[in-house]
Amino acid sequence: MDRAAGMMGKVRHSVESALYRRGFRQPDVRRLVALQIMLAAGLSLLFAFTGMWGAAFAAGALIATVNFYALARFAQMAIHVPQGAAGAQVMRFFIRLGLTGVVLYVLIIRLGVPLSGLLAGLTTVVVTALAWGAVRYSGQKVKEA
Amino acid sequence: MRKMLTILSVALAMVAFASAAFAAEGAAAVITATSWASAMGMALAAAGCGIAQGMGLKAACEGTARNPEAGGKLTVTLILGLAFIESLAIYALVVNLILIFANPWVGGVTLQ
Repeated sequence: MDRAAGMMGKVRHSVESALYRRGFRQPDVRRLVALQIMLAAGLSLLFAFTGMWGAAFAAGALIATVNFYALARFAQMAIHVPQGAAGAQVMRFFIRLGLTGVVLYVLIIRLGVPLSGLLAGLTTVVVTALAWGAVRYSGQKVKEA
Repeated sequence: MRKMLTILSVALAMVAFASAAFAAEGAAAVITATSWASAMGMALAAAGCGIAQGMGLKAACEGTARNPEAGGKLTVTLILGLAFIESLAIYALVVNLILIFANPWVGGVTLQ
């Protein structure tokens, strides 16, 4: 158990180091993106044995993680820009949505992947956000006590 | 003004769907209705999510400008909010792609 926790810690540290090198300077944002990457990778590995469903899940998780990465990278920079950040954010959102649409089209129509797996993979971002909120909330409760 | 716009858009929707509902039969009616539904659905989802993301970022920028020390906390909350909003748009995109290209009511894919 301790060995697994130590290994998880090492993986998390290496993911966070890689994110720091790519411009994620704020610790909380870095931890959040690292949590999403690790959750997506871990669940994809866990469901890998299910065959096509697992592949669809991995594809969905990859799409969600790439979108989340791009969003977090831009948002941490945009918040300190005095003007034009909202317009740039909306433009980026539409460009990302278009690219995601093309990828989803190929996955759903051309490759015919299982839809429930794809949707479950896309939900990993929501799971990350809920997990982050739960950890923060429990941390606050412990501090208050 | 808002009431007038609502009445106008409802009337427009009724006129747009009436021809499809009464003129077409069977699969053709389903295709017409789902084409309209997916076009309107994606337009509404993209517009709503775009406006929401812009408003969220604007509010976060204003908050950081007023209190620069809270910038770090605001960024995390902002990213989580933006991710939630964006995932809604992606879900709408998936549903609309299914409706357009893999419609389950006209022999398309089924949820596995």
